Amino acid sequence: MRRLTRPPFLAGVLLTACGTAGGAQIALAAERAEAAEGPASKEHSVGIYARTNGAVALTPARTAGGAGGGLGVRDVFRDWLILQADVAYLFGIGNLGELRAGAGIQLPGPDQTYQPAASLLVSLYFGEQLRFLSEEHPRPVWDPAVALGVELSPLRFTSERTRISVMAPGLGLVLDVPTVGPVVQLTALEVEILLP
Amino acid sequence: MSRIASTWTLAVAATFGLALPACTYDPLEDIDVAAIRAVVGDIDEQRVWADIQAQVSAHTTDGGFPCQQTGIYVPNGNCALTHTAVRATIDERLVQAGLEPRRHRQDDPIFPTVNITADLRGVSSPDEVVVVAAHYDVFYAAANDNGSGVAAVLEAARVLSAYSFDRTIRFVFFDLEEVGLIGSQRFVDAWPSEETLTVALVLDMIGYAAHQAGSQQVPPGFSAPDVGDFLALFANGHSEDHATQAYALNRALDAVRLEAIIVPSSASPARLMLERSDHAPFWLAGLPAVFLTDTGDFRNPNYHEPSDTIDTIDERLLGGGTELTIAITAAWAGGPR
Repeated sequence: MRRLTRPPFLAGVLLTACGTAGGAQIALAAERAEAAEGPASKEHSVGIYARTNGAVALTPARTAGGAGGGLGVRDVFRDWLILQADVAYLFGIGNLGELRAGAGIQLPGPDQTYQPAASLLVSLYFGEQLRFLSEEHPRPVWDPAVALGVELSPLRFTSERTRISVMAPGLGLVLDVPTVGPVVQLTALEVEILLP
Repeated sequence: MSRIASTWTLAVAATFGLALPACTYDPLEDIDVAAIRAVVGDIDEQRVWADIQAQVSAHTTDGGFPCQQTGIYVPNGNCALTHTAVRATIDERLVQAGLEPRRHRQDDPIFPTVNITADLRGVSSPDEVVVVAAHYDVFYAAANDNGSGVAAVLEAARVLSAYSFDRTIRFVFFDLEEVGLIGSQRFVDAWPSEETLTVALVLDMIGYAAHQAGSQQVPPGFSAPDVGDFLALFANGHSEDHATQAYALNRALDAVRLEAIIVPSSASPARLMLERSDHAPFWLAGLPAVFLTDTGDFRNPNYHEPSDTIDTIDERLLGGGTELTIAITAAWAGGPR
């Protein structure tokens, strides 16, 4: 059973990373087929996820951002503490890499299915961007842009082996010493496979 | 202990985007600012003004572009494009500067072009070339687009030809920018393999200023004032060091209010929006080029209109732009010597 269903499950995750909403349906279908295998550990619930997202960072010294997708890994400890890291490729202003790491909490829903979450994230943006010279920044700012922010996942659902989040907004600050500016993020769709 | 501390300092700085080279790099390290200040002291602003007037007069006598012969649609009033009579004016000014103008003709049934060049040969590295360029074809008799740019390049030719430089300075006047960057594309395509382009400085409209709030349109994502009294200097990844030097030299000379913007080198929507002048063929070929402009129709209601007349030129912006043009050309050419 595992051998038959895992490939479509992974395919679903990868399709999600490519911006295909249908990938989520494939992943869920595969997950239902594997549900009989039993629940994951409650001490650590580790998963890998794919997401489609966008971000824009604006400071007096740079504008970076775009839309794209990527992959990440997440550990939920004792059903409430989240540790996660992910990487994404964004295109719009230029070719941009996004690397995020952070921690957060998830709230147990009444039926353990609806589990909204909030995370504190450090994000690095490296690659092509618009850069502006000014009195404060007479030389181009250097890679990467560093941002500190909060991401909220109000529409986040967990089933036996799959977790899905849609429309998770994030807001933070980019530090371009001596100036700062806002960074706005949106994870449109995230599909996570929980490892046994 | 101190070694460990410095390692940690480096690690923390790198982590937070404060890489130490950014703090120690001096863009003016190899530039003799005092000597360049003396060079720009030779600028004759009245002559710059007279050069614009001479171009306007020439364009006014021009018969215009034979748009019906092209048989294809060329946007924006192509029948009002003039580019023939002004060539003699450019030639004359270059000869007065002691330079030898050369015409590079490219026959074409629809869009024949004549680019005009003149070299100030470098003394120690003549095969390394700094290009300073402006297009001379205009709609109507446009004083700003691009009489201002051509006048600044002509003044650069006059002033700089009195000095010697390590590298060759090539003064270039492009044909048929307005119908699709044709002259500059042909110039880049025909670049001699035995020469190395140090950087190209392209001027297109450097004379229009608006001083009221809200006069400057700023595209989303760009950081710039909403008062249109500055010049914008655009560079990409291949020319960001040149932009940094230009910005620093402009500050040292206090030449003009300047906004410098570095855009991605690879294709992107942000870059596509900024490929509207003769620097674009250089960028597309992966060559270093910097673009200096008053941003054209992002502020100027006379853009590509008969109302682009000399009375709309801002003397101070034009003077500052000319000074910056001559200063950075001299610096990039490695001189004066």
